[in-house]
Amino acid sequence: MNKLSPAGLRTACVAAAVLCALVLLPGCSKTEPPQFRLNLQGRNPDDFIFASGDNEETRASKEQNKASLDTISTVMYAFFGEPNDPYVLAETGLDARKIQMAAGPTGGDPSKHQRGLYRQHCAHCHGISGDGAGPTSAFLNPYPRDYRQGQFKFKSTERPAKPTTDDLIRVLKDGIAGTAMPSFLLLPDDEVEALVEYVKYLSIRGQVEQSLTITLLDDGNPLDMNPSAIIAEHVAPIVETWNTAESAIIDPPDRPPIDTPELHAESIAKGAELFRGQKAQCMKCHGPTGLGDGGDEQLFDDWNKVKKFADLAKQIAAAEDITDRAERRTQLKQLYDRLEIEKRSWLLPPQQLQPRNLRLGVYRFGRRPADLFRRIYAGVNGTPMPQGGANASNPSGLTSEEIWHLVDYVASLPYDKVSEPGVGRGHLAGIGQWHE
Amino acid sequence: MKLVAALRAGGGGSAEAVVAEATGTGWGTLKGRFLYAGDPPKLGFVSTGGKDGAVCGAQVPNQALVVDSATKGIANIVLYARKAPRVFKPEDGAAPAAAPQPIFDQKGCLFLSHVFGIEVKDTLEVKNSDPISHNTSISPPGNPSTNPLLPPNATSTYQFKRQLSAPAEVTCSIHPWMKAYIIARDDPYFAVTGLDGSFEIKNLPAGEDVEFQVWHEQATTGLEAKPGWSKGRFKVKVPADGVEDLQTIEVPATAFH
Repeated sequence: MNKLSPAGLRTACVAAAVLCALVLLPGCSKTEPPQFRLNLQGRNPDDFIFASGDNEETRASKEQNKASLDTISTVMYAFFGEPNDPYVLAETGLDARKIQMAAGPTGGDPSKHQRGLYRQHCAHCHGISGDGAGPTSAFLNPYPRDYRQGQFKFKSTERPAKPTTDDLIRVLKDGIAGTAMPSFLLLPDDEVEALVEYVKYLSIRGQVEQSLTITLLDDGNPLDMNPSAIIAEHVAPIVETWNTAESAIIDPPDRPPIDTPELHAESIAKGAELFRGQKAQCMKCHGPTGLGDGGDEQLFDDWNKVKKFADLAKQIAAAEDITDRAERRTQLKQLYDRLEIEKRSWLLPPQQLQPRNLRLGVYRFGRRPADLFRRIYAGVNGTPMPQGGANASNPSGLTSEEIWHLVDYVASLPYDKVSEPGVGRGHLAGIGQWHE
Repeated sequence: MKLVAALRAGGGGSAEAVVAEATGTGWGTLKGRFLYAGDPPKLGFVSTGGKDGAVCGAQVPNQALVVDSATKGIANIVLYARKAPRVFKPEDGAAPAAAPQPIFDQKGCLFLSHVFGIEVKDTLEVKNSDPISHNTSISPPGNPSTNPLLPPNATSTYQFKRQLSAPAEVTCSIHPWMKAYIIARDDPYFAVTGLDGSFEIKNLPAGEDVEFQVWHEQATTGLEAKPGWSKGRFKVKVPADGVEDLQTIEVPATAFH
């Protein structure tokens, strides 16, 4: 007779238990459907997490914050659905058919309709929620765009305006030179258009969420749960900015003639003077020779709203110099505690901005004269690059003639002798006079 | 799920509409003064690195925490009503003389108002009184971002669309040491303390609790100037046609970070 030893019995029991667990474990073979992530960027996580030392007041405040998050989640789900099942609110004016094509898991639906384009082409960098924090984002510089703030850099429109549909199509088709954004020129037009529509959907969604968050969490006001009131206050103003983008296109006026080499050289010379002059101040960031080496300061764009980080670094440096040992330790502890909170409040660590090196001939949104005109006229939205051109709200800005001269100068820089590869920096010695 | 269906159907929601109850009729004033407890910190300086040295100089004062050495008054503390149950209108009584258009100026590579308050309805005028160009970057949450290049003596305008729940940074990217803060509110119930640390807010709804937020650049989550002012917030009732004086508020050094 074959007797089971105690050890053998134990093994058999463990094996049986594991088998039972595998059979009984619900949903073992399925992964959870992806969800849109709540936008809590820049907030202190401790405002939402109960801790043992909380007094009654702190607890109540945290309860309220958590209730606010619930309200935001509910409204966001009602108005926008979820990644696998997007809802297209009529008031957004978005094309539900295009959104369906771009949303959901990669592949076709049972009737062979295209689905999941966003997850196939975009989500790994831009993230499921369009927060610019997909799995690959941490390896990229610059970071992928976070659509949720509704701010876009590369567009043909006035600085505060949204990009036009054509602008977004152009970004997708051309890619963005000098960044990780590739060209999707090989995709059929309807797929590119579907992706553009989905970017708008994520952007509108993100801005509505931001608007609700300001009301509920920052202002501490309750939300009137009447849908038409929410739409009027939190959705319609954002949709309106998308609808008016076309009317904000910058139409560069006729340029001064440069049809002879002399006229061209003259325009370049005028542009060079403006570039280094105190009206346009270009060289303060881009450097006296356009190498992008004009400032030694830390610059950040709006997506890296980390001026707090930058300040903290300075404050920490200053605290290191405190001579009184106890005082230094107290101050440093406080500062490092704050740094810890800041780090937990942001999806990605801060990324510093470099002023563009204008001698490389790499232009992120086009090299045509009209493109360069628009970059100088409107600046680059969301970045320290200012709006240079004169307009109704800033009548003393650069005139269009001045901008055209700057365009001619900037466009000439990559062809300047010192820009040629293999030419040493020694050749720049002649322009040292421009350094202060 | 019922709520989601209701929201999508455009039908009425479940929450009751919030109507502010006007319980009082009169108007009163709130005033007070913030003093630094202990030895006032000395005014520090920030190096300009010699950039535009002829105009900016080698260094500019660091205005992060300005305490008057003689009176110990703390400047640049902001107070604003989180929510006003009623807002004073001219027909409610003798209105103060119309204030001139608020101008946000810069000179010597410094913003002349380090902390600036404005009503959302007013247009902000940004001026440059320097002989060199600046650019003034404002990008508050929920509002359009702006960053105009301001040539010498230029003035540009900016319109807030929505009130801010905390002061927003104003910076100049050409001269990165330049920094200021702007708070835009729907009502006129805000004040910035002067050099002596004092403030006064007039025509507040009397006889009702008004919650105030107290903010300082080095206490961005709220200046806890007094015990009980959690997150820098306190409630106060002002008497009709009278003054509620908070007297002298001695702010401990630990309230600033």
